[in-house]
Amino acid sequence: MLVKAEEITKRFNGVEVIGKFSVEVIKGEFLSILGESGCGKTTLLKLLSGILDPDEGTITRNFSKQGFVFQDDRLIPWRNAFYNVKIVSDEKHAETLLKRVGVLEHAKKHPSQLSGGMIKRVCLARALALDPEILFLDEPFSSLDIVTRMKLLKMLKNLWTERSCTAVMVTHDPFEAAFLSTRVIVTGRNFKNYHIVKTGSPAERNLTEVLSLQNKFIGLLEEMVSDA
Amino acid sequence: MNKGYFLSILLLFLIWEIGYLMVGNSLLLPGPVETIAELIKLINTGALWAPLLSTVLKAMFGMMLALLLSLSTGFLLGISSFLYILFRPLILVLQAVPIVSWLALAILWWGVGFQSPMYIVFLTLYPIMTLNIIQGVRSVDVKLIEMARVFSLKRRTIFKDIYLGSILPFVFSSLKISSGIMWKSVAVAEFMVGVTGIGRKIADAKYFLDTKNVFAYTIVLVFLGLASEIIFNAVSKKVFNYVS
Repeated sequence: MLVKAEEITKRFNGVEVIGKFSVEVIKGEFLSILGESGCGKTTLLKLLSGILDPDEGTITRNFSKQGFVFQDDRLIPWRNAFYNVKIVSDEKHAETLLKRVGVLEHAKKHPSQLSGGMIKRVCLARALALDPEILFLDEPFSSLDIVTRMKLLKMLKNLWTERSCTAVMVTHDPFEAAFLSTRVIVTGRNFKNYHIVKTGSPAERNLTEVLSLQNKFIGLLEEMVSDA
Repeated sequence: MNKGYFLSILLLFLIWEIGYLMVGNSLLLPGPVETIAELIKLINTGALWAPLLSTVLKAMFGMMLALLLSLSTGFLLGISSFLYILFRPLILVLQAVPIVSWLALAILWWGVGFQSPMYIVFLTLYPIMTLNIIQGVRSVDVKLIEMARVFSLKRRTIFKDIYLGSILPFVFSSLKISSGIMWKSVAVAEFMVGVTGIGRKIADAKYFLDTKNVFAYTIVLVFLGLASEIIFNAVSKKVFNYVS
């Protein structure tokens, strides 16, 4: 078990965002948290990674190195791509990773000179630079066009398989969850209602299976919205 | 030089010449031709270089001192609101003290010579720069700091790559604002308590009622002000390019 959250509650200005929610992140899995915008997914990810502390409940973390892909990238704007990856580890590592994600020829460019897809690749390289035991992804590809997104989803799946690391991803896109995950938490608002769906290895899943999983998730999401 | 620039300078000289013709007394208002001739004489005889160098050095040392000190204190006051509350009145007082009061004190504290004008520049620029840098530190993107924490970046890296990078545009904007004030304050200080420099030369010219000399040296000061602003503008443009 890499992370264990027990009965955690988080409030912002008195408003409850997550209420008495428990979850475990198992070593080696790709866990997706799927829910509509504003349901508290990002807050949960920040709690699991230690950026935020819960108001109630406990979180046990059994990892020392983590990687994080932020929804809003958070690259240092006045440093080039190479430098942004290098500061997390070292030059050699940065070069290998930028090559692996396919942006080595753009390494000397600043974030403002890179396309959305390239920026995400740099963010992925940075997230992997520490050789993390666990990778947190906060709606990593939500801002991208469909073709770029597909390319990056495939790359992420390959990276996760190659490195056999654990991943926790937050998304509002049922396709992304169906394409990548070994386990999916489909949640309604504030994690009051949720379903846990075990999906098996994403490597062996063909497109038909992905689409049928996607439909299942959509059904669950609709059900929870009508519940509310 | 573009056409508009050239025309505006021409217009300036035209107004000056008309004024000169209307006044009709070189002692009160020397014309542009004799002023330029005086300036060329100063350049050709080499009389300009020593006071020019002296003024530039005082201004630069004063500015460097202000920059170094405001970077360190501005950073501390920017990250700690307690220190900010404690020291803000002091900085505001420093900013409000008129230059004549500093001049009166400077002659007592540092005497006449190189130091007084340099410290006057420092005292004039320090509060402006510090307030700017405090603002810079406070505008640091908290999301970048959060990112740094997630990736366990070292404190030194956070300071160098996130804080300094965020402050840099503020440093340049304060240098830009300061560059005009800097030449004015160094000249005033030299005028009052200096033994060398352009300000001192203007004071001497005043004693000898050499108005065209006053004008020639004033042109040099105006040129210094414009030149430094152009330089800071060019450098900060380069810096801003990547930040935006």
